[in-house]
Parts: sequence; C-alpha cells; structure tokens
Amino acid sequence: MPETGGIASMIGYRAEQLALVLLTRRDDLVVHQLPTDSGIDLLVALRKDGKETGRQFGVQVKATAQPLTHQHNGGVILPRVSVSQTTQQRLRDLTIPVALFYFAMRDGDRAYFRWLLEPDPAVPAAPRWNSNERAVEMTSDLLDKIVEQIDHWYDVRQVRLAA
Amino acid sequence: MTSAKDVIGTRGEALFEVLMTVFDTTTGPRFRVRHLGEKWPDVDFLVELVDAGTEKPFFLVQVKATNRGYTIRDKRLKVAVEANKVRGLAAYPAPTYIVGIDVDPKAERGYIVSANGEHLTRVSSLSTRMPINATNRQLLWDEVRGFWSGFSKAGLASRFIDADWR
Repeated sequence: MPETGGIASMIGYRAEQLALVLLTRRDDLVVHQLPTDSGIDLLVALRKDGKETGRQFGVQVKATAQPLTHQHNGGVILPRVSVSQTTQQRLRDLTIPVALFYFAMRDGDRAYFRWLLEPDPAVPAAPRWNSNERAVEMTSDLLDKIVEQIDHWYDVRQVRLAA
Repeated sequence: MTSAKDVIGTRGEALFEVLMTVFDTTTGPRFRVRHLGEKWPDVDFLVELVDAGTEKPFFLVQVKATNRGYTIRDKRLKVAVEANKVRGLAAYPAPTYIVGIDVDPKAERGYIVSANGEHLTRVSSLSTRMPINATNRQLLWDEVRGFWSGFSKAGLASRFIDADWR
C-alpha cells in the first residue's frame, strides 16, 4: 500500500538510517549513502584488517508504516516485497550483489531481507536475479551469513577471472 | 579512508535519528529531524515537533557518540563535551540539548541532557538518567512545546515587509 503525503519521504529516509544502523553493527562494513535514484540506496564496502577490500554490495531499502499481517499464533506473515520493472531493469545491469532490506515501522522497526541480485558461487560472472519476493526476518546471524556469502562469491570470482 | 572515529560518528547520528523518529503515535513520529551537516558549528541537528498545531516548535541538538561504555560508579556515558561547545550550544535562544549515543551494537541507546545554560563547563561523561524512549520523547515534546507556547512574533517590526504582497 502506498504511503501518504510527506510522511512517505520521511519513512524512506528513516529506513535508510535503520539500514545504516543495522549494517554498521559489523565493524568491517563501510556504508555510503547514494544520492541518486540508481536502484541502490546504500553502497556497502567490505573491509579486512581495517582496510577496504574493493568488494562491495548494494542495498535497496524499503519500508512500511502499515502494521504487518499477523498469524493467529502471533507470528508475522513474512512480507512479499517487490520492486518496480524500472528498478529491475536498472539492477540487472549491475555486476555487484544487491540485497533488499524492508523495515516495518509499526512493528518495532523489525527488519526483513531478500536478495535482488544474489551472489551465487556457481555463477561468478555476475550475481543472478532473484525473483522470489518473499523476505525473511533479518537477524545478526543472517547478516553474518549474507556478508560471508558475498565474500565467498568474490573469492570464487577472483579465482575464475584469474584462470 | 574511513576512520574508526568517522564510523562511530556516522553510526551515532543515524542512531539518534532512528531513536527520535520512532512511530510513537497513530500518525507517526513525534519529531522531524534534520541534520545540519558537518560544517555547522556547535549544532548537529534541528528537530521539529510534529503535530504541534499551527506553529512549528523546534530544538537544537549536539550528538556525541561513543563505544567506550559507561563509568563504573555512576553508569554515566563516557563522552566528553568541551566547554566551548557547551557554551556555543547554550547561546542559541531556543531549547538546546546534548545527546549521548552508545553505539555498541548490544546497546544502541541514546540519552538526553539539557544544555540550556545550567552548566557551561566541560563535561567528561553524560548522565544516563533520561534515555531516549517513548516516555521521554513525550516529555521532551511537551517541554519544547511549552517553551515556544509563550513565544510570539508580534513584537518583530520587520524592515523587509513587502507592502504590495498579494
């Protein structure tokens, strides 16, 4: 459901700040906010031993001010988060992994995640488009796995490119 | 190259914005927060009250972030604010506050301290008595609105009036 009035831009900005807070819980991630509408809101650089590695991934940030749908047992139905055709076209040209973060501001700022361009070690040339719109709840463990997956993909890519 | 200090500062500012704009009411957050940029002396944020009627009351904030934790005895946040910064902030004829942010991922908390001229000396740690939570956001909103409710622009006789404004 579209957000209404001036609050929509405020929600978008707040969501970016939430994503920045979430990502910088890891001290090996440096987050750059991108001013243009490129389909990516945040460009995240991976560091090793305090130095930037050249490995990057993008994050598109979305949010809702509507309460999420709850199941009878109190759990939340995992949201489906889509992106527009225009955004898809822009993202498909990219060669870095891109994640989507989704924040539910009426549910304690709970965060959800899905891949847009997933780094698949079997396809090291470029990350593959993920058409599964179902997001999963973001946790610290999941963030660790995401970063690990990205780093591993770059490792494989480096070996393949060198061969 | 991004330094550790930059990372803590950026994270602290983002946490401040997030903590101040929690959806406390049915219409949304109580505050609208505007970062003034690195080059603005003494003040980091202008914060406007939302849903305060026809007027737009505001207050000014300086944010100090740390990952150094708390003093053992009094559990005060280990951030220092120099005297010139305290005086610079208090010099504004508007409500002014210092906010200490604990950027530790396990904490992610903020604490508000008045900087309205009560103290004008350096402070080496900040009180944690008033955390940024729903209760204190409401108290802050009321305090700032109360301050501006006695304010009127009627006394300003401007020399810049457009006599033909229509």
